[in-house]
Order: sequence, then C-alpha cells, then structure tokens
Amino acid sequence: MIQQTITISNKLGLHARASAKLSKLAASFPCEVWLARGSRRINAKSIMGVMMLAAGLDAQVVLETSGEQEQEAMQAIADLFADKFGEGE
Amino acid sequence: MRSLRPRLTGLQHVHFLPMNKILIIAHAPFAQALRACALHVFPDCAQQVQALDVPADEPCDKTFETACALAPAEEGGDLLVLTDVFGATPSNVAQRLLQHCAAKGVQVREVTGVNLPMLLRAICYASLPLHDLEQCALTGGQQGMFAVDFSTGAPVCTLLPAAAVSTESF
Repeated sequence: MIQQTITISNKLGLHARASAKLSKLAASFPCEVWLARGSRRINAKSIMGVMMLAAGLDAQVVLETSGEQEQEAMQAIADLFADKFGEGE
Repeated sequence: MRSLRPRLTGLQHVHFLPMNKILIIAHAPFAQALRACALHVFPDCAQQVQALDVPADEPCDKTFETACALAPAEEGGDLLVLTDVFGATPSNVAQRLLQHCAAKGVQVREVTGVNLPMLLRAICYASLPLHDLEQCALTGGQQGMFAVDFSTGAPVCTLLPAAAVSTESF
C-alpha cells in the first residue's frame, strides 16, 4: 500500500468532469484506489464517491493505492492531478 | 511530464464498448436537460444515452411511438429506462415500452425517480448485466440525496439507514 498527499491545483477542484476522469483512470487499474479528505475516505473508482469529497482548489487529499500495479496507478493519478485534469487552469 | 491523453482515450474504449443503452423518459424539458448534463461529464456517451421529453399536450400514442423508435430494435440490445415519477405519463409510456420490447426479446428495466447521481452512476456501470445495472442506478439515486451541513459540507441527514450511506459503498 502506498500513499501520497496531493494539493488540488485546478480552479474548479474535483467537480463532475474531473471526478469522471479520475474515477475512470482509477478503474483502469486492478489495485484498490482510495482517496481521503479529512475523515472522509472514498473509493476513487466511483464518480459519486469522488464528488462526495467536495474538494475544491487548494484542498488536500490523500491518495492511496493498494495491490497489483499500485505504483503505476499512483503515478498516473498523481499525473492527472498535476495536469489539472487537462483543464489548463 | 508525459501526456495523459492516450491513456484516457484508450480507457474510454474499455468503458464504452459493449454497453446497455439508457433511455430517459421524463416531462419536458427534464429528459433532455439531464442528458445534456450527463454528456457534459461524459462527452463520449452520446450514442449510449438517449432522452425523450414528454410535452404536456402530446398524445400518449405519439410519445409511445417515439419511445419505440429510440429503443433497441432486436434481441441482444438491452435497455435501462429512467423515468421521473411513477404514475405519470412518462412512466406509463415506459411500461408500455417494456411490454413492447419484451415481445421482441429485448430486455428492458425501468427505474423511476431519476436524478443526476442516478444517471451518472448508471452510465459508469452500463456494461454490467441489466439486473445489476438496475441496482446500481437505484443505489446512485438514493445515495445521491442527503441534507448537507453548510459549515462542513458533510452529509448530515438521509432517508437511508446510516450503515447504508457509507461513502465507500458508492
């Protein structure tokens, strides 16, 4: 199991479209993918779960991957956050 | 940093190949509005999600004909119909559609009380067997409703038992 704290850098935060991209990417890996904000921890393969975090710009979330391909999943998802979900701002 | 787009593009193929169709039937303009919201989030599901707005003054038979034209034409194409409120014309049309499709060997299920969480979740799980997809839609719709604590943004009140609303179960 590996963890990484990520600060959300896109203007709109984990809104619907960003959540869709994140959950799709997470679902493409065999490992478990969890995302937590404060005490709320959700399955990142679920769009509704990701949206439940209501995480906006500058919010800190903890990304956790566990199982087969956990390193690859962590890297790909961290890249997606860093890429601001392809939104440019 | 490497580009993410190739991976995301490939993934969409994984997600959107052998899919059940989803048809929203609702009072105008709710069905098309919901579809537009869903396409905003999932731009590549336009073929998979159809919407039928039912105008207040439209004859029921005409609505039924339009619904039939939107449903899969032959055996093997399964359909999940989402309607807004049970007992109203859109839902009544959906039930006629269910009988019409069953006669042709097309599997159809109807879930009523459609909302955006239900639709988004249904799209995510559209590749599941129809019965499982129906359950996913129900869960998404019910768990998408809760009162929100304005100070924390946390869910504070729900119609479901507390054990059923764990965010992990979404």
